[in-house]
Amino acid sequence: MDFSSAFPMLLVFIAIVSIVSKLTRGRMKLNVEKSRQQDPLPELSKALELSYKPDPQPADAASDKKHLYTLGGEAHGTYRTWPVQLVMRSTARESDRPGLYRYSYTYSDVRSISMTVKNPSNHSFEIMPRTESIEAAPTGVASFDKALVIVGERIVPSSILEHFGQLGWMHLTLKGETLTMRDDFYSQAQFKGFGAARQLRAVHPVWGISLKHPAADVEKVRAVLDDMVSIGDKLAF
Amino acid sequence: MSPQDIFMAVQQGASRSSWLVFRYNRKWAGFNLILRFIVLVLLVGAALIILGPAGFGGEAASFRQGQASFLAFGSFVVGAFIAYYLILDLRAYLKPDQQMLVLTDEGVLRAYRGRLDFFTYEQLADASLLTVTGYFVLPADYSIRFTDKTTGRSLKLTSGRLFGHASDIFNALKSRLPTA
Repeated sequence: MDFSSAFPMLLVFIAIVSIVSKLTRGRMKLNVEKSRQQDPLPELSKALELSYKPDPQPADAASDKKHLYTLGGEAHGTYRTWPVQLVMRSTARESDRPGLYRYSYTYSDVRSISMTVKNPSNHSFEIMPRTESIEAAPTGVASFDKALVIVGERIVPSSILEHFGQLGWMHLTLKGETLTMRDDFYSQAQFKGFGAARQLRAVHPVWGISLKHPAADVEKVRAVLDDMVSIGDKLAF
Repeated sequence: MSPQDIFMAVQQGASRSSWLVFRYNRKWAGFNLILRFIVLVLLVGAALIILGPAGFGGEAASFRQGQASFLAFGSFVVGAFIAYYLILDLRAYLKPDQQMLVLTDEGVLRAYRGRLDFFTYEQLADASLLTVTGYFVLPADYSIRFTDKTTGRSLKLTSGRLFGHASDIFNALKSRLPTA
């Protein structure tokens, strides 16, 4: 190859990469502002009569040029006599070792509903999505067995199992005196690799949010909270 | 319960209700066996072509024969390495009931390639899901990695879809780890 023509081509390539990486960074910042306005937890906590507390920004957020955003917060309160905590929190930071040709960042996204219950008999269970290769005995509730499995003690009433089955997804754990809905919906295998595009149109079965509709569906959340209250009531007596 | 007891209980269908059992994905493992067999055949074929009359083994200069020996030796070493794991995986494939990943109350049991490994949740408290991004037609690869706190060694618990998709297993594992 003639090196006299390769050098200008290399310069053009470097210029294009620099421009694209700058533009991508700009889009990231823009999305942060949009996400801040669309955080569903403040409205949701108001509808559920819970007190909302936004997360404070990290002390070095202003000086840390790699810090992209810290969004969300926690909602505390009592829902039908049981103490409840809703968490929606996401953080992102640019990678310390970015790739040569693309913009890269690390992020964490934590969403959960925790309810403190009375569990004198120290029962425990875990309800989770039915995945390939998982082995679990059926419960006899068809919609539940099709989409979900339960391990541990089977103290959850059939009507609740049926509701979870209709939702098609649930990750609920009872450990000690805490009933936790851990939101790992978008980290399931179905959204990985070639299935990543499905995330764009997926509506979250518990929050009712999607990329197009960031506002939470209060009735959906209330239905899951009612199920958790029913489990709490059953455990207490 | 010892790892052997857990293994026997699952094999006999007497596992505890709180255990989460992930079975060996025979379909995925079979597909991988075929892929690796093809790679092995290509390597052996390449070595034979290099050494054969059409390659450097013909009427070539002596320095080329030296290169040919080097390439053939390299192909042999890589081929032997692939063949060794191919045999181990073929044995696992023929005994699918003896391969499993079990999340118990205390830790994780992995029975694979004739070995029984048990790691308590405290041992793998820094477990993470490692994603190797896909490129062009190659799909992304997922594996669960951790550092064994007792030995300090970096280990892989599972990868791909060997016992079901690694990201699904990781979701189940996270709620059992001490930091969760």
